[in-house]
Amino acid sequence: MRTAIRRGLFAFLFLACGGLAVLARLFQLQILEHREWAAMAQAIQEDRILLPARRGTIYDRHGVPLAYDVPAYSIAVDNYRLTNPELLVTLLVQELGLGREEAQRKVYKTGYFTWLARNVDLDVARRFRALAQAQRIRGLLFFPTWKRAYPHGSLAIEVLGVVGVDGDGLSGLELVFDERLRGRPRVIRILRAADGTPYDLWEEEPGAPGQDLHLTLDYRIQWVCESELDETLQRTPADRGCAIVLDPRTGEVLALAQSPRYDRANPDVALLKPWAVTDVFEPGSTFKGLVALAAWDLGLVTETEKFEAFSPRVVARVPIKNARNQSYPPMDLREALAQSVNTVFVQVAQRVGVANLYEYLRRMGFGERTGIELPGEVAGLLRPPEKWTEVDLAVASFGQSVGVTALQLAAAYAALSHDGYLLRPRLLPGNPEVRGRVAQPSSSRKIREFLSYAVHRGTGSPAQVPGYKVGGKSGTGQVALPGVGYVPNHITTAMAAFFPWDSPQYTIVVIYQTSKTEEFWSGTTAVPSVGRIVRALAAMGAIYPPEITGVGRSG
Amino acid sequence: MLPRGSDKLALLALLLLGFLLAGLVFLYLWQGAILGRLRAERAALALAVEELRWERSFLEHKLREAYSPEVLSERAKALGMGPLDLSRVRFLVIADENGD
Repeated sequence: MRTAIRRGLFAFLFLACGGLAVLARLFQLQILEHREWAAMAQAIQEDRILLPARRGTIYDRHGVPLAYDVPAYSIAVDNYRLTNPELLVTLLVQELGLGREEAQRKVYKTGYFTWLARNVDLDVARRFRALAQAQRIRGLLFFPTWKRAYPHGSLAIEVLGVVGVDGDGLSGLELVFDERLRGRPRVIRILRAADGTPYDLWEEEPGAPGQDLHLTLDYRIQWVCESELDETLQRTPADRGCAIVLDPRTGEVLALAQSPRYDRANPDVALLKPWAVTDVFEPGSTFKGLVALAAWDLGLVTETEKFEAFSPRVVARVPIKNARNQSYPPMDLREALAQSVNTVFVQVAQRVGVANLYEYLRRMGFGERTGIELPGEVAGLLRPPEKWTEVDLAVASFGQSVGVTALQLAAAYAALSHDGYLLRPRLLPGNPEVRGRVAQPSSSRKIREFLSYAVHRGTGSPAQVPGYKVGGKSGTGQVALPGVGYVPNHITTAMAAFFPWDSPQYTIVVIYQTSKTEEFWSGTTAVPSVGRIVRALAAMGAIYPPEITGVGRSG
Repeated sequence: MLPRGSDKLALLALLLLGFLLAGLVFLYLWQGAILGRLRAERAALALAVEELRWERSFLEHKLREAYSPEVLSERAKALGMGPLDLSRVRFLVIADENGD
């Protein structure tokens, strides 16, 4: 009996020692070394996933998205865990379009992490992953991300801008409003079972998507302008063209187009520059409408007064000629605008004088930035009045010796269209911002009436659209190259227009430039372009003709 | 030493307590397992929803691309609907039944 008790006690003590040892080990693991083991377990079982914030969407004035983020994958490889590298090279060439040498360089690189492709389309990445799995390629890493998408291709791309592979705005509005458009990334944690099945998921950082941006652009008008520029560039020897459509009542930019445009398939960074706000040119005869406005507003000209129109007219021993050196019989201001007679406008400018003309041009916004929400805008070239010579004054009357941007010209014509109020051109909606008053409403109306005659009877007639009362002024001028001067085959053609002239709803400026030929005229380029843009606006129902062509019934 | 009857009662009470404890432990483990499974399902569904959101925004993008002015213009031209002849367009004042 005693032996049995002793054996039992011995067994109990043995087991108790074993139990104590287990308890001691548990104490060590769970209490003393808890932090290290918990961290190790977390590292094995939990995934911390950083979901990049979705960048804000850019909409046009009707809520049509122009640029937004779509889901994509960035694909990398852990070169040490990689299996079947040669198959991966072939897959990269076939599915992702990499060159074989580039693919080999990435795949056979020594390292734990090599990017194979960034921002791959969702469907392409999924197909790539399925094929890689089927071919037993291991070591690939797929990171969910966002990719900037432009559903209308290169529409307004120089205004919208582009983003880099990491989602940073690089140009255009994407750059200017980068802070607003970018969001904060979301962080989630996933607890996984040994086989990788998700066991639990929770949000560590909620993150925040980027804020949206609503523009004043109308994507239909933008497309109309771009199509018109593209077609004209195909048909004529023009190197480039730009078109601007403004609502003169609010300063809203409805379209700001240029051609050629940036093409993602064949990228040329220079084309990302919105040259309608970054480049200056001499506005040529389009300036005559503005000089006429200054003269009329000062009461220096009348409707019936006749001006000598012979060519050339000598100013400070410099002969100033009309186009093709053509002379005309004496004519009034309206006819001089319609026929675009330089020598008449030399006399008009001389009456206005340097100080007054400079003052009016400043009021029209020349020589300073318009304040549009685009990077790289320039102020143009408007010399201080003390540096003007007699000849400068004379040639400024037909748009030489001053440098303007296309947007400045459009804003000045918008002021003419809006009873003399100069508004800040804007790409973001808001209350109109009045920059100043250029002229009296009666003066603006009279000059608009004259300019409607210029389209009805004069050099602007290719812009005429029956029933739509288009008014405007065309211009053709040589381009002065730095250090060279005027070059015969470098030409700028322009048309600044508005319609309907008695109560304008649209202001349009179209510019073309060439460096190929002397035979390049506004009458065959910018002027008909304005006409076609007006027709397209009419066709899309943006404006109805004041002259009704019939009566129908409904109901 | 307890009397014989009390011994039995104590044993019975001990057994009942044991069953109660075992039952509670069983309930705890059972419900814990169910909760664990539901959590796993929720995590899988949350990931699936995220995936579907992605799919949706990708398909919306494809749809928008298909309806861009450029694509529509090409389609219209292919169907012989362009270029527009404005002289064929008539603008009408639509009168209602009262002639207003």
